[in-house]
Amino acid sequence: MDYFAPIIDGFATVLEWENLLFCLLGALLGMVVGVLPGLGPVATMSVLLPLTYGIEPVAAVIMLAGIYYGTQYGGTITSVLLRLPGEATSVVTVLDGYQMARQGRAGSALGIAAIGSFIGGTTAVLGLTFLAPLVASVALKFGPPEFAALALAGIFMVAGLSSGSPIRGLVAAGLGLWLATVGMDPFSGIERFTGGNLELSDGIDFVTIAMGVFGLGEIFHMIEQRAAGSAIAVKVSNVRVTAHDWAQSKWAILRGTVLGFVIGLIPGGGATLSSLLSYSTEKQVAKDPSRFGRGAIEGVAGPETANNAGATAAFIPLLTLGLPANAVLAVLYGALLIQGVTPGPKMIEDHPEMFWGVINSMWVGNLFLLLLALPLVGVFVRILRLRSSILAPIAVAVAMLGVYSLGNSLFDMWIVLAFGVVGWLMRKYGFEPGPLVLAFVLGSLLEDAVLRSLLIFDGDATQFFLRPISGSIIIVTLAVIVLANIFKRVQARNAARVLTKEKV
Amino acid sequence: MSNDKNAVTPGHEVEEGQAVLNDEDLDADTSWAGRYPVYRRLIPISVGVVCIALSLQLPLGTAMRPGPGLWPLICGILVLVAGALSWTSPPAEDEERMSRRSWIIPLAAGSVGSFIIAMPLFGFEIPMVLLLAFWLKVLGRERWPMTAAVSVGATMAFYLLFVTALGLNLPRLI
Repeated sequence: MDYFAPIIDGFATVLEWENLLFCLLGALLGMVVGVLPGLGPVATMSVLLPLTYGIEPVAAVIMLAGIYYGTQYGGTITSVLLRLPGEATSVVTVLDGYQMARQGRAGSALGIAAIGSFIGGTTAVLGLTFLAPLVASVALKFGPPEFAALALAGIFMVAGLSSGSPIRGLVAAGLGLWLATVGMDPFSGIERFTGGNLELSDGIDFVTIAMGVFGLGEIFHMIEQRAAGSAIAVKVSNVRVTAHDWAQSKWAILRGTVLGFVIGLIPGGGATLSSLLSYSTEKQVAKDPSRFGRGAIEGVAGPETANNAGATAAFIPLLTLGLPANAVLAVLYGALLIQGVTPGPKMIEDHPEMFWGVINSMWVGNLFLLLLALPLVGVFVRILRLRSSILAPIAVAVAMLGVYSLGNSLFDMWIVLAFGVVGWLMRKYGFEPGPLVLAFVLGSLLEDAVLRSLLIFDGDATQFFLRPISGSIIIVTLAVIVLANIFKRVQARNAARVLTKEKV
Repeated sequence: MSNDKNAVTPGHEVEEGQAVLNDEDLDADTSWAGRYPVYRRLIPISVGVVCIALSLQLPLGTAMRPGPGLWPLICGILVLVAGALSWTSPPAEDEERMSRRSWIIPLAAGSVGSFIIAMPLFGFEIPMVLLLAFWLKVLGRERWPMTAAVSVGATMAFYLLFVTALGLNLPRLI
């Protein structure tokens, strides 16, 4: 098989100046967003989705992907300097990174995090390059029951592994699935739940629900918290990594890479679980575990490498199986759908330039991050001073103008507003918005797969379990959810013990 | 979010050595102890009931010949069952009470709604300046110079970005 030609073509795509520009823009934007407390990567990507309409499809997705892994590093900066994890994936970095900063070693912490992220991400892309076509070729043999099982697995795993309780995740997912049915039913032609409203007969637009629940919802939540300006408690001199730092961290980085890549492949796991696991692994293999929580550089190097590797590996299920593994990838999934590309096993055949373009942009993206991170920390630190009281109205304005620009539709703006309120209420009542949007994105595909499967089975639903592939997918899903929840509870208890001891 | 006054919320001034996470933050549950309102437990269940009720109005068909209502019904049942199972769950880690501060949200939402109504009538420029000024001054409690600068400046920037640079078709005065 002409294996390497498409990969090389993909590089040609990436090195086109337009795509390089958007990759850089995305990585930069991602870092800025990751640094600002308040708007997360999902909210930013959702709000910026309409703006990607006017750009070339490949460039648009490359930029969104750049934002994704750019925010990983931005979150690291706030973890180390402010003891405030900017992203969920940087929570573990707080434990040792902040201590390093207080010891005057902030530069080393940020530097090793950048280098580790680069190594982890780049290695993961290598794995991605070789693994993805393999998975895609296997997935081509899947029929509707397998896809139904996979989509269900993805939804259940995201609901089950999210930071909230799995049951509440399922409530959100169920609602998301139901909302996906609004509109005209493709099988029967009957309008469902539209109340006669013409605008709804095509269903609720994914972009508007994402912008509402993720974007506006997070903005509403943000302004409700009283927030003044941020102050950096710690000075940052240079971002510099000494030979000693490297010697201490290199094995942590290696372990983080492998761990992150493997965990990242599991839907729902991804970057957050990778960083958690890496931290506990480093602590267990260290010669002197008591250093952890007091500024052990491995406690920063390992998790930061793992979360980047995990974030990259999570693209494999998305691009090869069409399974978004978390909320961020759900937004990317939607972005691809908007551009007319359906992620899945066929993608590598039908749209190879998009497939390899996105993958290869990660090489470049990781490189940009490293080049940007080291000299620009001072600038980012200054950006941290932007108050949420200024950020919020600007974000709202961008969202409103952006959604209008999609289809010149005031109705869309109302939908975004309505779902913004829904998103806020969900956060108040303790429901994760992620599973809802993820389930919504997969909803129509899942319905299609399930109904087709029922037709194949002549109405006998137990066949889902009897077919070997779909049955094993279901069993593996349940196992992963149960194990991960046990693990999370153990980790939470350990983290609580560390934090209460470290009440400095 | 902790109710503790000393707990630091994102964006607050951090003093040297001040703990960002207090013990209370780890025990966020207990702020609900004995006072978790029943209506919160009913929310997912009622959502499920609504979904099911709406789905039943459509023809369901059979498993062999599914109708348009079958799959929505399944989804509604999922919501209801999960909601019922969550009846005995403890409050979520970051589940928050409604406070007086929460009234800010209907206000904020109302301001956005007013913008949507005003935009086709007056173009986007003036309503946008007003919307931004409202959020900055009233919701954000910024001072007048900052409010004026950002609301006018941002609106101009949006004009340049959306209309001039991207060529989008927004209702406008100019």
